[in-house]
Amino acid sequence: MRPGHGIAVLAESARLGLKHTLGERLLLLGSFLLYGAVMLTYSAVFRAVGTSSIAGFGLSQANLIWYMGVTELVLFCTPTFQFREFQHEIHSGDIDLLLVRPCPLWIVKLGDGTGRFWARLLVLSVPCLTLTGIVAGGGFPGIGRMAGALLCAGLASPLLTASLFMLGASCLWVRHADPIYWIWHKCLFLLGGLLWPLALYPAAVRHFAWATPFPAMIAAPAQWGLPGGEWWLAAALLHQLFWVAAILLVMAKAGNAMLRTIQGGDAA
Amino acid sequence: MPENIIVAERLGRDFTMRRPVKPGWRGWLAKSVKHTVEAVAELSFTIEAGAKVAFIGPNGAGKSTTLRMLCGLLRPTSGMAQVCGLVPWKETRRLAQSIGLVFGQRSHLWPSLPVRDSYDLLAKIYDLEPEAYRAQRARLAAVFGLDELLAQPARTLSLGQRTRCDLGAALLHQPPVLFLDEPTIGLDVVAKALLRDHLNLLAHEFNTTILLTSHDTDDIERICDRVILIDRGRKLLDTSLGELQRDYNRFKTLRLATAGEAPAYARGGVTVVEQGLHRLVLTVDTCAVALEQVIADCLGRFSVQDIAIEGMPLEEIVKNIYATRLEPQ
Repeated sequence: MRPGHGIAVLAESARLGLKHTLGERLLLLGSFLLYGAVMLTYSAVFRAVGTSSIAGFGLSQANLIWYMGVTELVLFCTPTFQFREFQHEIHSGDIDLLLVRPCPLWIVKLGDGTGRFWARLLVLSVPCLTLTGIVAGGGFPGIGRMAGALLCAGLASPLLTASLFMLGASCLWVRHADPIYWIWHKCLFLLGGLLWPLALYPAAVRHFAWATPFPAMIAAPAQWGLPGGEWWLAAALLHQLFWVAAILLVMAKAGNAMLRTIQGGDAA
Repeated sequence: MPENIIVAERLGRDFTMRRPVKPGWRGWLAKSVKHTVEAVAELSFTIEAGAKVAFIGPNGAGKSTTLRMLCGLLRPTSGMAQVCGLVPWKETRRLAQSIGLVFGQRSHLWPSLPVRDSYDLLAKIYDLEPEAYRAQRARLAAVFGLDELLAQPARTLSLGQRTRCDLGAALLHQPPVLFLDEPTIGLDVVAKALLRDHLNLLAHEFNTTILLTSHDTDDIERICDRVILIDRGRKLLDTSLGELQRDYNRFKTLRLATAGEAPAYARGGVTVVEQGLHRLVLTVDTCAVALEQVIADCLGRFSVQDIAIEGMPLEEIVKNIYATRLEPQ
């Protein structure tokens, strides 16, 4: 397959994912309302935490709220139901038609997932971050930093899409992907640093977390919302780029493994 | 002489299944034991370009397994096959450019997207030139009557409409070979007839090779010109539809409406298919007894109000073949 062909499929699939998500106005509104509820609740929780315990890490309560504002934005932009859609395609047998095509299925799914993610990011980023600014009551990291956070959030989308693709595909081997999704979700919550910056974690857990792809999905974009040196942001960006390349490679391998499993008649 | 576009030689496929263990101490060690099922065995045939072939057999005969091997979705355990000069399970993506698939109850379309968007994406997937794609889409829309359906999301279509759109999706890249697995399953009589007409038009217009599996013998009679009969994974018969009907034309169905309430009839070479109030349906084996004799006999015995003579429907022919061919086993 020509690289240009793959890119054309990726772009078209992303365009359709974007168009489809932009049409789901109620879903977008619901996401914003839920985001608001989460931010209002957790900002109150953060304010209840004493400042002295986090001041040692050079952080304020407003920093924590900004951090969480970005992590939650990434999470709300992720079309997590995509893994269930894919699982359904496998169980219903539609996968047979999707696999016998000149372009690998993973490219189509990657484009679709990223398109949906970017559509939500496009719509939700301004209202959600404005709301975060209101509930944080200060500590705005600056326009440049926020642009960096959104760019890194966009970079996290192929990682999240690839994970969801592989989670859905796993039902070929384990019949039901939901238990694996549950584990993945907990890892994303814990190792991705959804609520607290990884800097606050015990050293051993922090080191372990950075050795996994999860911080590249959530913590890396949110890192731009915290005060800190540029070198740290550059390291987080490199970490993200490394994992994007690695996971896309694994995604392509998983796509081929799916076809081999179906051809072997070995699906669970 | 036309070239063979599909070649299958001694194709075979086994499946490993699990069978529950009988209750007892062995059940503590293993809940099930493996056993092998032969789905297809020693299946050989060739199909020339432009042919319209029906693959028929009862449930579990191995029709779909064979079709899945030919389109690259299943690796055989023995034998070889080539479709358009490619080994399907080794060159699946290259082959995809040359084949179209329509599997009943499965869809090419993205449920939430308008059909046109699904087609746009498929055009990119099949790397079609924009001009060629638009021309083909317009042609298919005209053949299948899709103009009003293109703007609708696939999930809002009826089954018949969706099948037509799926057929269009399978043909966007103008494949020389079309695999149809139970394409009319779940469709009502009108939608079935419409789809068969469309398929005939398509085969005529694009000279597409069609390999069809269906339980509906009407599909076969209206679309195909050749029949391959299989059972338990083995080929029973490979003949033209015309020959099949001619060979089995010795069987005639005689429908009688009588004045008498309970007409009864018995004679060698004659089978009573239906016996009801003022009604009698007989199958006559014309090799065993002359049809004229049976008619004369009936006219003598009953006061006949109406009489109709029919050739045997394909469904009956197929049943008959299975009955006779499988008798020694």
